[in-house]
Amino acid sequence: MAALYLLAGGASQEAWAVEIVFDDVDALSLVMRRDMGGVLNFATLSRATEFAVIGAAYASGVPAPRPYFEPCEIDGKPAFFMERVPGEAVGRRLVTDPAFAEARKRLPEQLAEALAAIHRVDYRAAGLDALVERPAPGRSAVSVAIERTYRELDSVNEAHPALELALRWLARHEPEREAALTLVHGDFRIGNVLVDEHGLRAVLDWEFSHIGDPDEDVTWPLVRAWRFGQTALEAGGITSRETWLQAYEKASGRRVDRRRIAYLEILGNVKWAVGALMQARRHLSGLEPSIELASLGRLSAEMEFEALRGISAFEATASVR
Amino acid sequence: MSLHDRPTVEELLAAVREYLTKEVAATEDRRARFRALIAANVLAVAERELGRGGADAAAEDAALTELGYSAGAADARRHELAAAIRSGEFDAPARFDAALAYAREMVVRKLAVSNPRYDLSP
Repeated sequence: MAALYLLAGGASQEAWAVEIVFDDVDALSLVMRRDMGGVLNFATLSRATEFAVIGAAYASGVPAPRPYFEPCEIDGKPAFFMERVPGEAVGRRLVTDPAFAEARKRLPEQLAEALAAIHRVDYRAAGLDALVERPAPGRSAVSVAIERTYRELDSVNEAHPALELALRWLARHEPEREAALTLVHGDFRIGNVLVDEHGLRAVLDWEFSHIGDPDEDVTWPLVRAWRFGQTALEAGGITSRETWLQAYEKASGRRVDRRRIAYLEILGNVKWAVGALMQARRHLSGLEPSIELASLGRLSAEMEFEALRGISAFEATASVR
Repeated sequence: MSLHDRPTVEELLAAVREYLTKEVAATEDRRARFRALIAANVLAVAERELGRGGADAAAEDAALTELGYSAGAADARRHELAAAIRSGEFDAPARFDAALAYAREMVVRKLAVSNPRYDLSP
């Protein structure tokens, strides 16, 4: 081993850069992802399962880091190794830095193709349906998500009438039809992809992947928080909503129902509102003192506002029909 | 005037915020600069909240009373409202709209403290 250093650390996971040199000739640049014991939310995968998902995605041609070796324990903590892909992941930089202007032109199509490839992964053949969460027979992916969000909100133990209203509204307006179940990345957005000046290099952060409704992934980059300040560019701060949806439709060969997307965007805002409250609890509990985590507690109001705005807009367009 | 000597609490917070933005954030270390700016922003939130005095509490008290929650501490009443929404007591359109108006007003008040530049257009 030639070098070892910490790339990112937290209460839930660490990422280490590992340089391995064979016979003074061949070198291998890897990342080691390692558990630290903390849990991010109620649907976080184990390292071994995350490794299996990345492996299945990589084998299906998804731009994901190539996994190496087998999941193992390093100093008693679950870990795995994967290829270290060069590129930038910081959202605000990707949506504004002139160095990525060319990349931003290509990204909508590249991200759509990557996402469609994720949704085409034969998860049964890869054995993933036995490893990751999936809706029980007869249950919709949306109802599972609503139920989990209620549980997460209860764990925060704080009254949020706006989120209660949004969750109640979501439960009562559940769309009748869902897209066929696929592998879902679960956190697909700018900030969780590696990009260089030519565009997409790799899709990262697979710890929330599950079997579910692919439109969940299609909608997630539209959630306002993931536009990184470029709010007029509704898809990830890089392109318009329609450009993104049409790029995904072209890549997947599947038509996307705009009204379902509007519904799922409300759900996405509620999920991230609760997620931000939970992140603040990581600080407040004393387990992981962090000014960044603390600040997220006050970010939640923005997603609450977006959820309420989304409900009003959804109902306004319904009454026009 | 407060019993306490100057700087006032507002002036103390502002001094720390300016130290963070002008001195700590001047570092070359990207990560440290990022954290200093977050810390300065968190202080600005605290300054705004102090600056609003009791206006938010009074508004919430009035709004909760109008929705039928008049007895007890605001926090307990807010919990009662949340539980009632969850159990379906606000499903009827008129009730839902009343709760939605309450929720929006309170969220807008929270945003005035947490991010006053937030775009509130419908």
